[in-house]
Amino acid sequence: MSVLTLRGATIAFCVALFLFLISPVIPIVYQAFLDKPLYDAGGTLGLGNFSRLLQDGAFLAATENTFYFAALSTAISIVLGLALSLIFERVNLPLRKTLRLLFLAPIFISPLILSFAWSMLYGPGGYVALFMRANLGFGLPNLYSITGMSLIAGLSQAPISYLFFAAAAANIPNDFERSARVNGAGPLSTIFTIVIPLLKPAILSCAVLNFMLVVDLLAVPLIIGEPARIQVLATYLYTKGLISAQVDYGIVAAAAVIMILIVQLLVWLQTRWIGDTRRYVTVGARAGRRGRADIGASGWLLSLVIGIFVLFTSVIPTAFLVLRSFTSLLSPLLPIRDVLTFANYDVILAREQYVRSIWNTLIISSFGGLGALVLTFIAAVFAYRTLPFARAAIEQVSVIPRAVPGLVVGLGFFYAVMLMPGGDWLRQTILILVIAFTIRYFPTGFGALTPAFLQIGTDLDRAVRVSGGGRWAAVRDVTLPLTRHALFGAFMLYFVHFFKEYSAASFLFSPGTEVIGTTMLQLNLVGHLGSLAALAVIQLVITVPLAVAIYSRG
Amino acid sequence: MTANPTTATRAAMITLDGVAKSYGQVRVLDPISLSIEEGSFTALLGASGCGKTTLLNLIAGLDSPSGGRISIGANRVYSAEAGIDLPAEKRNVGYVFQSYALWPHLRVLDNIAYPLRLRGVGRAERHEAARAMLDRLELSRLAERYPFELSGGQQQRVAIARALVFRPQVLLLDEPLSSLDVQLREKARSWLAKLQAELKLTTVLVTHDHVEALSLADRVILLRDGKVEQDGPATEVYDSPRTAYAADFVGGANTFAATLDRIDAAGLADVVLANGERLRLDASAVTGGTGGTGVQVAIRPRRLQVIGDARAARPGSLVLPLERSATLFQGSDWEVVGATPLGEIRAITPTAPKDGPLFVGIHADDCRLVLS
Repeated sequence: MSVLTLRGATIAFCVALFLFLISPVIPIVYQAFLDKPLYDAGGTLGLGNFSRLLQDGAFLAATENTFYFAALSTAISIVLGLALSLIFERVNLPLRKTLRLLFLAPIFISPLILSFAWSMLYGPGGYVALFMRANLGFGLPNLYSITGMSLIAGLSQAPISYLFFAAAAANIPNDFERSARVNGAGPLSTIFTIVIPLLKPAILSCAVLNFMLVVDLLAVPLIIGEPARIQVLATYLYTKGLISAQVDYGIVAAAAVIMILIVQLLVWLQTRWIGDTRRYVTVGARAGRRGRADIGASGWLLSLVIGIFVLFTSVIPTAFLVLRSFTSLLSPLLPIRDVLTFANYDVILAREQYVRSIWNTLIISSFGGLGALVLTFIAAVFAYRTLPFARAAIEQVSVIPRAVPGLVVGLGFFYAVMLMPGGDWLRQTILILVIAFTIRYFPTGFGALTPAFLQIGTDLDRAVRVSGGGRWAAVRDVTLPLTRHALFGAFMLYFVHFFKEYSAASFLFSPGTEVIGTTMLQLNLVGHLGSLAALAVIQLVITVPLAVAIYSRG
Repeated sequence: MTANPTTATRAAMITLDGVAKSYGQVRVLDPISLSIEEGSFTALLGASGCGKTTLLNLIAGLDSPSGGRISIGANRVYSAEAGIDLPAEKRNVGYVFQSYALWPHLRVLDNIAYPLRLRGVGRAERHEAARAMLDRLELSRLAERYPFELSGGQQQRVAIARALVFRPQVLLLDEPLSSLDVQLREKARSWLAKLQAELKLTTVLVTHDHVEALSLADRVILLRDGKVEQDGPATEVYDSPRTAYAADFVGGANTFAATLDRIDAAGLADVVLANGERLRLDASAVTGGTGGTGVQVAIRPRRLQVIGDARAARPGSLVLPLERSATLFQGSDWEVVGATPLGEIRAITPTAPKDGPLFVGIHADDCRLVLS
């Protein structure tokens, strides 16, 4: 009988989780086939929106640009990520830990802030370009191009590729490489004949992941592409669905459906390739601790090259942003002491809506993150501590948001609250952002908890049961204390992601529920770059120490 | 330990009636009916995948049968028809996992006191009871340690202490010795035998090791592919295996194919071996067999006489030439492997076999007639 009620509760939870995570998609699909805005009565279903979309030259151009942009960014990210994973994981470099952390920096700086910094520094009107033109007579290649966009997107994505390859390479048993060595291969030829071929499926799979993330990326095309009128699907959706005076709901929803389909196709390809990966990456063999090779003086050279690279890609842009936040205007043509000021911070701290956006962000990240964590923990308990079918079901359901671009989550949830009873109330509270962010990052948080649950043998739970405790006692006395480190890690992930999130928020915020990301986008729109820099610095001061704590552990 | 003559008069503590288990289409346990007497020590013996751990989990309530009835003491804990399936936490059984499953975040004392905490026993009282249990199992000095600070043998004792602290009606042990190394395992075995003899607690042990089963239990239930292959006192299962599988699994045996000729009034069978020689053996394992039935003759490796001279064989023995393929020195004995006209054999002999031609002597008193 207890099995029956448990079965009922588990099924109910799986269904509820499914509905929760899919909720942004349903109104979008509905709207895409509806010839009137979905809050109007009397619409009829049809393919009209799609045929209008396909006749829209801007949409077709944006689709084409998206593919170029995503392909080039992916290539840059993969090459950098693979090269640096081979270097950092296999070679003993001077300053290895510091360089590795600096290389990972774009993950926690956020593409939005990185784009602002790059544009202020390397853009056509940026400091470096002006400095070079004044002193050398020529400027930089135009950053406001698809190549420039891809460079920033590739750089900000490279750490993700790096982490992906480092994890995949750790699964290659040491013995494979050692046996290549005793058979006569040198260290380099071992890498090219053994390691890279074994990583091939991981490379394919990582490429798909990168492509997906770039399709979903709003910050770079918005900051770098829009000034040059280069539109991609993300910015098409953003401008058509949000900025435009007359929002065409049907066409925006149809574009969102196309975006979901593209990402869906990529997810399908990726899972196919991950299936293959398992066949490649040896099952059961012990990975063991891998020693790193000493390469003497060439190590210093390599460190220097990597050092210069991170200096120009992350360190200087970030430092420039900090400097910019303390100046009224930053130009090579003006001496710095004339422009130094605290005015930018004064503006931020004096305006109620700016201060509120900081508070809102903090509340959403901490309390919202905690709420997301509770849901994630419950989902993991159902998945790994109840009935066998729950594991497969919840693992499947938990990745749904991964196949939905963040912008679409925002847009879809925006539609959803229009239809929901009590939606108007919800729209005026930050709860709506908490829910949207939770949906968006659920796969990340769940993925962070899964290994901890899998590591705890089920015997430890069963031992509670034979000792006289029920399932609740097992969760309270064994699962919770034993997963506390993973829970803390998952909370930090939620906190940092919620803090940085801007794309889902851009559709959902309203006066009173601004967050730092949406405020930065607005400041950019009106050209208040000093205050924008100040707000970015405030965000960095809060998130970077946490992110460093998460990622420096390796 | 040998069979206890008083067991027959004891009441049943665990009763299984037609208990079966399938996972979808796969049948793991055929319907099994048996009763385990109060205070007895029973071993469920079998190869991996035979269903022995599944059976233990069905008794404990960690898994639900596909049909049948289970009682523990006076309680019906499972009945398919009546819709009863008491969860594990309500069955009051002590269970020791193969992995011991000590909670890594709790000290030894807290691990042992935990079942009492679940039963609402106050802190002081449960710690006192846990300490008393630790004293009894000679573990007092480990009370404040964490499980990872214990050796394998200590972990095993703590796991047993935790299973006993709430005075369960029965103690279920799932391969409790298999994670210990060989020397430790022998010590732990005699410790366990002593403990059970003192407690007189109904105990069911799951093991794949026949030595463990024979030395600890007074009753051995041999399982094979989800069915009971043989069930009886330890000595009987060893001395009078019913089948070739039982003979081989419990202690190892050489088996030779033979044909039953006839069974006489005294219960002795005449069998004809492959080479035409005849043997007269006890027929109890093949009751109901008629002339022409295919049977097996089993003999333990130690009972084969390995000799250099055919005339040195024990009087009345069947003597066969042995074409030796290997001689392995085992420390106190020699193992000889080779071919005879009846098939491959493995013999163990206390004296070094001579060089040159060898013979094996087979005496009817050492042979058992078993079912194929």
